[in-house]
This record gives sequence, structure tokens and C-alpha cells, in this order.
Amino acid sequence: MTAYTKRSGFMLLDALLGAALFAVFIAAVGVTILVGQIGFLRSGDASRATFLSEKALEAVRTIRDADWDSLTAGGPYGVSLGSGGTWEFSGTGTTTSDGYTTSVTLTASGTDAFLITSNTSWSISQDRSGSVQLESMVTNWRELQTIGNWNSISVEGSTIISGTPLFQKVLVSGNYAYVTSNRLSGGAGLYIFDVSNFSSPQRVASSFTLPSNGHNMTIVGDRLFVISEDTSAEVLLYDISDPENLSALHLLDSANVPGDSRARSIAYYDDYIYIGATEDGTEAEFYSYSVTDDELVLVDSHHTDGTLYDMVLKDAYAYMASGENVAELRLVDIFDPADVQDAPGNGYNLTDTNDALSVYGFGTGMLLGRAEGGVIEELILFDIAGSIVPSPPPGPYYFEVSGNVYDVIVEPGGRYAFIASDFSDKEMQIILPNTLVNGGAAEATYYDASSAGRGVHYDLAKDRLFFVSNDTLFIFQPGS
Amino acid sequence: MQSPRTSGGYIYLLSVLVVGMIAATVTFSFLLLATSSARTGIAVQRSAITMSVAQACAEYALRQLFENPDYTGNETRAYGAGECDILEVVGYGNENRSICIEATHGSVTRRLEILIKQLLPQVEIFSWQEVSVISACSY
Repeated sequence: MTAYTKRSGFMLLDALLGAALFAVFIAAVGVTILVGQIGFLRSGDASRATFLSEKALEAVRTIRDADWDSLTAGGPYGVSLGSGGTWEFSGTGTTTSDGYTTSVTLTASGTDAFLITSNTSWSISQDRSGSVQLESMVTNWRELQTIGNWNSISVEGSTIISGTPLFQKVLVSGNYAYVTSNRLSGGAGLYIFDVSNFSSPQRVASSFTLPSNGHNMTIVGDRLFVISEDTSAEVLLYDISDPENLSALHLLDSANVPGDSRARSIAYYDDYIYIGATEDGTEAEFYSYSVTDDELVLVDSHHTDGTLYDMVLKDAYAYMASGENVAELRLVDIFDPADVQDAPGNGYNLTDTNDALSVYGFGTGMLLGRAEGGVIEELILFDIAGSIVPSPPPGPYYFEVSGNVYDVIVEPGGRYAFIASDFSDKEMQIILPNTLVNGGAAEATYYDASSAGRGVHYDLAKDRLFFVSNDTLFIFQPGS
Repeated sequence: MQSPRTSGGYIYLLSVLVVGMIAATVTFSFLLLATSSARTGIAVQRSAITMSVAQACAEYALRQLFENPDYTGNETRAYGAGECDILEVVGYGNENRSICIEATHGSVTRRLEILIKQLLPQVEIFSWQEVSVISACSY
């Protein structure tokens, strides 16, 4: 009996202890589940708000795509789908059926950019409230660069260099025009003009001279690559970060193209320059150089028949104006600059043997200018949409220039082509490539300079044409 | 040998302990899941912030390149809580250019590669994609 009495007491304690422990466990489980559930819900709230904020940013970009002028600084704005199924601003915020409110605020950053703040907030219960904010930027990079009417032109400014500089090519970078010239006739080889005032171009760095005649050039950032007829330094690399004080001290490196004074054309892409040279019985005509830390290193060379007067790169191929009688438009494959190869078919053979002197590519077109010939038309437009080497039809399309086509350029939209030639009545001509393709009268207008046209450059950002004759730099503006 | 009558309390207690252990394990697992969920939510948020910063840099770089084809990139910009590096712009002239962006926020990094068909008269994009490793540009 004694043992029974003791045991019953322990049973009661056991039961109480067990019940207490169980209650603690249950309470812990309950609290944890509640806390965990709130955590789950909060995490879901934040994710949903993030998604809504992202959606609002994309909505603003879609509105921008439709019309940049729809964006105005201010806010908060709501964004929602309008009746036409397109995104539009509406009210001061957009609230979803489950209680998330999203708004965007636009802050102007210059004239062509807005900082966007997309904010989504929610307050579903005391434990479930908060906000998510995303910041981004939208710019007017989809803008269409409009240009003037180049069917008529007028000279906005010009400058004449006395003596016989015999200008060759012109290139514009920033507020400066770089013009190569003959050196041996008394010119400087390279002239630099401040063209910030179109009506009054001013020569700067007037004491600078190239060692020999200057030819083609290219500018990459603040580096100028220029071809000269020097016997041991045909390719010259200058630092032009301070054009007004350019001197021989700014020469960074030079390259001696095999043979003497042979380099004529140049093009740049992705840390390599490509050089075209005059025809030679033993030396190659095409060279590739790497450009690393302003150092020029010969990488490869390739033999082509005929002088390579001008060059443009497109889709891993170099298109060149060549003196080769069976391929006036000459192509080489530069996919691997260390292994330059002939392109399939080598190029395109035009009627007669007049050299090609200039070439320019735009869109799916390739313009080639030739030396004057009595039975040929000197400007040829190729369609290269269907094949790397032109494979007519369609095209080619011909235009009579009546002179040596020394330089040609097309505005990036392909609407106008500008030609520099020595045709004594029309040293600078503007033609309409689309009209040429359609068989119409392609000449838009022309300018009769007092001496031969040598080089031409069109700057779309400025919507100005820079043209050099033997001794004059002209700046043309569209419209009369 | 003990009779069931004398060991009932222990069985009850043991049962409570076992059930309690199971409940504790379930609770702990639930807690881990909740924590993991919270971390996932934070990661989603950071990832979105980083992408919005990357997009901002891409927009900026495209506009710069549109205005000046000689724009070289090589700059770092900050937007809100994140920042992005615009790597050296690849290519030269009006066609076949590449922009690469690397944006970071906390431990999150997102990268964009934009291949441009032409800049002028209007920018035409050949591809715009997020990548895990940038290959179109060099650091």
C-alpha cells in the first residue's frame, strides 16, 4: 500500500510535467510557425514589390521607346496600360488589387536623360508593410539624328592656305579638322584647323609638319594614325589630346612598312591597324599591325596585285580601292589579323583597267570611285547585302563623275553621297544613292571649286560637310 | 519486472519528449525555410537593384556613344545603392560596336553585353543580353 501511494504522487507529477513540456513545445512550435509564416509573407511581399518596381521601370522605357517627349521631369507618376494597350502615365501611383502601390519619379539629367526612381509600397497589416525602391536611368539613345536638306548647299566657311599645299584628305574629330597634304611641294604634310566656328575655321599648330607627303589617316579617340611617304616611318601615331599644340614630341610610335614610301591607305579596328601600300614586285601590299599601349607591331602581310589606294573595313573584311586590273574592288579576309587571307573571289572586276582610287561602305552598300576614263563611269555603287564580294544582280549602279574620284563618303543614313573629284566644273558633287539604285537622275547638287577636289568628310553630329581642294578647306551647310 | 501501472508516467513523459523532439525538428526546419525564404527575397531584391543599375549604365553609354562615336567607356557610375563599370567600348566608327557593363550591389554582380549594329543616324542594336562572363570586351 505504501508503494502504491508513492507511485500515484509521481504519476501526477509526471502528468503535470509532461503537460507542461508539451505546452512549451506546442507554444514554441506555434510561435515559430507564426514567425516563420510572417517571414514567408514578408519575403513574398518584398519579391512582389520588387517585381512591380521592375515592371514600372520597363513601362517607362516602353513609353520612352514610343515617344521621348512623353517623359517629363516630376512625379510621382503611376504607370498603367491605357485603352490602346500601351503603357502610359496615370495619376500619382498605381495600386494593385492586393494593395501594392507603385509610382515612378523622373529627375532630369541633362536634356536627354532622366534618372528614374521606381517605388513600390504596401501596408497589408501591422506586420506586413514596407517599400522597395529601384533607381535607374533612361536616355534618348533611340533618337533619330535628323539632317538638313543637302539637295542644296552653301559655303558656311572656308580657309585658304597660301602656296601649294596640295591637300589630300580631311578628317574631323571634335572641334578640329585634320587635313593631310603634300609636303615636298611646300606644304606641311598635315594641317590642323579649329572648326568650332564653322564660318571661320582657324589653322592651329601651324609650326607642325610631317616628315613627308601625307595621305590617308584615321583617328581613334585621341590617337591619330597618319600615312606619310617617309622612307622609314610610313605610319605615324600621334597623341592629339592637345591638337592646338601638336608637335613632333607627340609622336608615340611609327612603323616602317617594307619598301620605301609605299603606304597609302589605313583603317583601324579593335587594336589593329591595316595598311594598304603601292604595288611592289617583291613586297606585300597589305599589312596588319597590332596597336598595344601605343606600340605598333607588324603582325602579318599579304600580297595583292595593284596599289591599295583606299580602304574601309566591314564585317571582318577589308574592302579596298585597288589598281589591280582584274579586281578594282579588292577584298581580303581580316577575321584573324595574324592570318590575313584572300576573300572568296578576291574582289570585283570592273570594265576597263582604270584604277579605283576611293571606297566607302554604308549599310549594305559599297561605293567605289575610279580614275577618269572615257568609256567608263567613275562612281560605282555595289549592293553587298547578299554576298561579301559583290555578286550582281542587283547592281552595280553607275554614275558619271567626269573626273578622278579621289574621295567619297556617305552620310550614315545612306541618303546622300559626297564626292571629291578633279572634274573642273564640279569638284564636289552630292548624289542620291537611292535614286541611283532606282535609275533616276542621282545628282542632288554640286560645287564648283577653283581647284581640284581632293578629300571630303561628313560629320553627322554637326551636319556639316568638310571638303578640301588643292589649297582650301570648305565647310558646307545644307540648305541654300 | 515492473507492471504497466507503475511505468505509465515514464511512458507519457517519454512520449512527450519524443513528440517534442519531432515538433522541435519540424519547427527548426520551418525556421530554416523561413530564413532561407527571407534570404531569397533579399537576393531577389538586390538582383533587381543591380540589374536596374546595369540598365542605367547601358542607357548612359548608348547615349554617350550616339553623341560621340569616339566615346571610349572606361568609367564607373553610381545609381542609388549600386554602381556599375562601363568597360572599354569595342570597335571604331559608326558600325559594329560593343558595350559591356558590369554592375554590383553587395555580393550581387550582373553583366550586360550590347552589340550595336550602327550608331547613326539611329542606334540599331544587334543583341542585348545578360551574360555570366563578359566576352565581347576586355577588362
